[in-house]
Amino acid sequence: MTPDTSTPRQAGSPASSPSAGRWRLDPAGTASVGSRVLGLVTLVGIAAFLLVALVASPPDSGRDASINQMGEAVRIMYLHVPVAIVCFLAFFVTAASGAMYLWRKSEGWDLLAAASAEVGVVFTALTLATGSIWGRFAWGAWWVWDARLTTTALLLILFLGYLALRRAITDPVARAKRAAIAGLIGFADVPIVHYSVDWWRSLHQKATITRFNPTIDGLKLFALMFGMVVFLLVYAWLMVHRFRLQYVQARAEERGLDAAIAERRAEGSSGVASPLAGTGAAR
Amino acid sequence: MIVAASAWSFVAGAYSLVLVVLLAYVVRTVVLGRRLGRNLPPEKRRWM
Amino acid sequence: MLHDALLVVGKDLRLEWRSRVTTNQVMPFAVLVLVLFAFALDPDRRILQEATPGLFWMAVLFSALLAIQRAFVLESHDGVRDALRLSGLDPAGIFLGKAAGIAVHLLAVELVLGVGVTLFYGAHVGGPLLLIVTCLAATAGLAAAGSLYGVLAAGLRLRETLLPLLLLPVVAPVLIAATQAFQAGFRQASGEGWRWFGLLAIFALIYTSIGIFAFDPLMEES
Repeated sequence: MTPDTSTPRQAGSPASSPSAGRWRLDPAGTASVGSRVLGLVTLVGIAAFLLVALVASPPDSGRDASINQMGEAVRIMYLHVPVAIVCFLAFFVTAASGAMYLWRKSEGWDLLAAASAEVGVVFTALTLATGSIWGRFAWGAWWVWDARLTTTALLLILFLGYLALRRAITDPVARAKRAAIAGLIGFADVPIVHYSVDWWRSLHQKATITRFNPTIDGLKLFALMFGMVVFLLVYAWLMVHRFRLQYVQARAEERGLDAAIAERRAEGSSGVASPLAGTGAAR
Repeated sequence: MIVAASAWSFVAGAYSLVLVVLLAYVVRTVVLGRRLGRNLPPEKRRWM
Repeated sequence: MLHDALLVVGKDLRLEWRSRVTTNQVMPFAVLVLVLFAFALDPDRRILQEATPGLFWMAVLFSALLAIQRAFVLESHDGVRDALRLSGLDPAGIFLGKAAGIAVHLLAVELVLGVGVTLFYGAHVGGPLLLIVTCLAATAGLAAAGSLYGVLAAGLRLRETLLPLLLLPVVAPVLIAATQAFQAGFRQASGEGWRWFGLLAIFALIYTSIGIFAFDPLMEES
């Protein structure tokens, strides 16, 4: 990432960049003073979280251990649980924004849904990865057909399908509408998948696998809670930037469309008839 | 049960994976924003 | 609403009667899938017999993808979609009609597949009632979810690749529940099976009601 010093600062932009050089606010970028502050707070939070989770908190063994006796590996949970919570939150935001879009029909809700789905995909993949690492340690297998794991895997595919659907539609209104409904359908599916997989598993194996037991206290509980706060901040920061990116893309699309229409009009006025061009290609 | 050294390697793997992926995603988001944002007229930049 | 649904079903079934796409293409495909499963797994019937419920429903899912593609390709040609919208038919009726048409096709495919697994895999029917109601409920769920995603992907350039990606994860519970219910039905111990049938019925209900409400905004678009 090379700092771009060639673009001149806009005359009208507020002179609020804290320092010069690499860290100044790029006038073309998606950052603002607010998001910069949020980013700094998040960075400090991550550093503190790493300190608490990896150094300060005790391993899950010895006298104060939880019934799982996870030893040092309990630290994976401080990471895994917050990431998983953000993943479900992201999908909920996508579905709820979709519903709001269908109600209010305003572009902002659609952009919010799209931004949350993009961030959600990353967090869902990370949830699966960290869960898998945990599973390899605790159960000796990278993958177990457990209800939560399976639901999360399907959630990832649903998110990917949602984004693929968005990419496949060019008309912004049609895209917003179809995506909103796709998000809602997917959301309705999550509890059904969870219950069906749960029943399916309980049919085949009676003994449940050892789960993370939330009966922890003291610094361990603090590490978990602090992790949640930090990853919510990360989610918020990403959402701010992804939302603005969506907005930039929507404006770029609009301008592309305007340019195409202007071109077509110019063609028409200059008397060059374009038979069949573009009549049925859009749909 | 697996020895503690092995547990630490799992912990390190999980933490570094999450941090690297998130960092890459953040960099990508910022770079993409700067590249696409160059074409956006400043008066439409509602957050500045 | 129901009258409109009947009109749409009638239209789709008449089209099928004349073109015979399902009878001449989808049904042979379903049987082909059964044969291919046998090649892939084992010539020995033991594994096939154990896996029969799952293989049956996998074949149904693949055929459903084809049937749904077909049902919505019909609508995207020659501006039929616009014609349907201008016809003043109730969107909910159109949804129910499309779903019912797909369901009829799927039930026919399932009948053929049922004969197929009895012949090829030596499946033994224990509780016919459970098998039949499972087929009905699962088909209703598949047809409802399928019509929803069919119209979401309709008219897009990428619909052939997009529809499986969108639909298959959503109907995963149908695959699980129908397979389990069939296992119970084949074993004659149908106590567990009725619970799975309940899940299938709930799935069908949820997706039918989503479709009834969601078709309105989907049809009015651009």
